[in-house]
Amino acid sequence: MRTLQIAFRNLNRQKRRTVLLGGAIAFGLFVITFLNALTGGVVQNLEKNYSRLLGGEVFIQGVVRTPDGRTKQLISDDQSLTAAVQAAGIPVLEMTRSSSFLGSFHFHNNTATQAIVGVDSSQQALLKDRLVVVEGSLDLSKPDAIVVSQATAAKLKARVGDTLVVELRTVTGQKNVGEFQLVAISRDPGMSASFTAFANRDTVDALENLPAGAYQTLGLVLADGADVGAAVDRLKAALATRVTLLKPVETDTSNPMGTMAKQHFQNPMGAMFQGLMKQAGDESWQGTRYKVTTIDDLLSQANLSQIRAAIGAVSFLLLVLLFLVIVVGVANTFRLILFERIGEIGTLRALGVQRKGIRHLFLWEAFFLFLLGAAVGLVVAGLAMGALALVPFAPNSPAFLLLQNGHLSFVPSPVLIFEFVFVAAFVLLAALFPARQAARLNPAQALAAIR
Amino acid sequence: MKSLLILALAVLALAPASAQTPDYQAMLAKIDRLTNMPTDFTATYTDVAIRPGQDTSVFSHLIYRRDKDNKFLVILLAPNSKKGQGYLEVDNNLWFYDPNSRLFSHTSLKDNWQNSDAMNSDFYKTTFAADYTVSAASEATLGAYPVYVLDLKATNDRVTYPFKKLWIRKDLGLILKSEDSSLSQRLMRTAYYPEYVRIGEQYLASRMLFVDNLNVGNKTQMTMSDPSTAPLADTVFQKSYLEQVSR
Repeated sequence: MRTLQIAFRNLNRQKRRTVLLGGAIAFGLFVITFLNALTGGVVQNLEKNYSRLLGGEVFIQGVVRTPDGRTKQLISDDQSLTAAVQAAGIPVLEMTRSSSFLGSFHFHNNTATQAIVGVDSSQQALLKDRLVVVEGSLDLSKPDAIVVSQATAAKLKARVGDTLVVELRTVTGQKNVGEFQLVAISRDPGMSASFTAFANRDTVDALENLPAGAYQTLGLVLADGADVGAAVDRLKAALATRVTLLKPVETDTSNPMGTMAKQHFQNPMGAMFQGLMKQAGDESWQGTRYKVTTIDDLLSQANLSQIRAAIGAVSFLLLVLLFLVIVVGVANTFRLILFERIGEIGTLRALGVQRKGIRHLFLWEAFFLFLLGAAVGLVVAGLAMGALALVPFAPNSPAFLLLQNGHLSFVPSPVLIFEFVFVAAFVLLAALFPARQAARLNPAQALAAIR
Repeated sequence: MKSLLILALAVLALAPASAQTPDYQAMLAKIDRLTNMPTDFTATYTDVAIRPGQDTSVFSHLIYRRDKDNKFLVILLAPNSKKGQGYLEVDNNLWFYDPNSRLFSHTSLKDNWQNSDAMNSDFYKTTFAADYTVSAASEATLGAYPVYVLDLKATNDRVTYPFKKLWIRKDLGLILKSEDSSLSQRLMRTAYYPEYVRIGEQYLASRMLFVDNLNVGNKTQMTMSDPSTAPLADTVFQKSYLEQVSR
C-alpha cells in the first residue's frame, strides 16, 4: 500500500513530464478507441443499410428440380414459409418478395452487366429510406420503370427517361429481352462494381418466365437490434417441420468463366443465387427445396469481412507504431527518473526496502501513468465521437452506406479491451528495464552518488 | 347427288394444291439428318469477332464431335492467352476447363462462345424437329437461292432461342439464314450459313456469320478447315484427355 502511495505521489512530482507522457499515451488510446468504435459503427451501418437495400436480414430461397434434372429458382407457394416465420416467433418488421436476374443492359452500343432485382411495394418503401437518388424519382409503380446505379448509368451513357434494353435468361435459361425506362439513377454503394438495379417485380417475374404468383426470394426485415443468428436458428427449426431445406455445402466463389460471372458472384444477389444453385446441384432429389441465407453470409461474400479485417489490421499497425514511439518515450523517461532518484532509491534500500519493492515502485508508477492516459484518452474519444455523431452528412454523401440516418455512429467492439491490455503491457514492459536497473542498485553506491 | 358432285369437284380442285404443300416438320427433320454426323468428326475453326471500337479478336479452335452419343470436345488453340481452354459435353453436362486454374466448371450450351456472337450450342448437333414446330411458312428468294421461310416456335424450354426464323434452300434443304428471337420475340441474332462442305451424305457449314442484333456492329465469322471423319478414341471425350492436351 505504501508502494502504491509513493508511486502515485511520484507522478505528481514532475507534473509537466507526467502530462506530456500521459498525454502521449492518452492520444494513442484515443486513436485506438476512436478507430475501433468507428469501424464497429461502419460495419453495423453497412449491414443495416445493405439489409434494407436487399430487402431483409434473412432470406429464404426456393429451388425446384424437374424430373429431367434441371433446377429452377422459384417459390411458387409460400404459405408454409410464412407459417414457419410466424411459428418461429422472430421479430419480423416486414416480409419482402423479390425476384432477380443478371442482365446485360444495352444502350446505343454501350453495354453494362448488373443484377436486376424486381421488388414489391414493401421493399420499395425500404428502398426509399436507404437508396440515395441522384437523378429522377424512385417510383417503380410503372411496369417498365427501372433504377440503376451511377456507375451503370455512366457506363451506358444513359439519362433518366432513356429506354434501356436488357438481355437476360429466363428461369429455365432461355434468352429473353426486355425494355425498361430509366426513372432514377442511384448513388453507387461503392462496395462492388456491380451492385443492383431495381425494377417492378411483376415485370421481372414476367421476363424470367416465372409461373403466375411465383417469385424467388422471401426476405425478412428484422427489428433493430435483433440477433440474426438466433432468429435464423429458430426459423430453420420451424421450417424443418414444414418444408425440406437444402443440405449446406461449402460455398466456392472461384469461377473461371470470365469477368461477367465474377462480377455477378461478388454481387450479393449473385452470390445468393450461386450458393443456392451449388447446394441444389450437389444433391440428387426432385421437388422443391429451400435455403436460408443471412445478410452476414452475403456480406462475407461481398468482401465486407475482408474490409473489416483490413481496417482492423491498419488500426493494429497504427497501434503498434504509436506505442513503439510511446515505449521509447516511457523507457527513456524512466531511465531519467532512475538517475534523478538514485539517492532516494539508495535511501529506500538503506531503510530496508527490498529490490522487489523498488522494481514495483517503478512499475506501479508506469501503470498509474497508463491509467491516467487511458482515462483521458477514453474521455476525449467519447467527447469526439459524441460530437461527430451529431454532425449531419448530406443525404447524397458518397459515404451514405456507412451512415446511420445521415450520421456517423460508433460501436466499440470487445477487441478494444484487448488493445488496452496490449498498451498497458507495452508501457509496463518499457518501464521494466529501468525498474530492474533501479532494483539492482547497490544502496551504498546509490547513497554515495548524492551530491 | 348434286351436293356429292360439288364435294367431289372441290376435292379434285384442292388435291393438287395440298399435294404441293411441303411437309415443313419433315423439312426440319431433314436439316437434322443432313447436318448431324453419323460418324466421328474433327475440324479446325477460325473465329473472328468484331466489336466496334475494339481490336478484332481472332480465335482458333479444334472440335471433336460424336453426335450419335451427344458428345463433343472443343479445345482452344489460339490466342495464347486462351490456349488450352476447353469445352466438354458429356452426359448432358457441358464443362469448361481452364488450364490456368486446372479447374472444370459447369457451363451451358446456352452461353455465348468465348464472348463472341456464337453460342456454345452452335457447335452441337441440331435437333430442330424435336425442339420446334413450324408456326408459319412462306416462300422467297435469298440471294440466288429460292428458299422456304419458316417461323419456328420452341416446343420446350430447353432451347436457347424460343423463336426462330429459318431460310431453307429448296434444292438441298440446308439453312442459309436464321433469325433467332427471345421469349419476348425480339430479334437477338442473325446467323448466315453461306457455304457448306459435303462430307459423305452430310453437309456441314464451312463458313458462318453471326450478327448481333442488339449491339449493332458486333459480328463473328467462323470458318471451318481440315474436316475429318476419322474415328476418335473413346478417351477423347473424357476430362482427363482435356487436362492432358491442355498442359
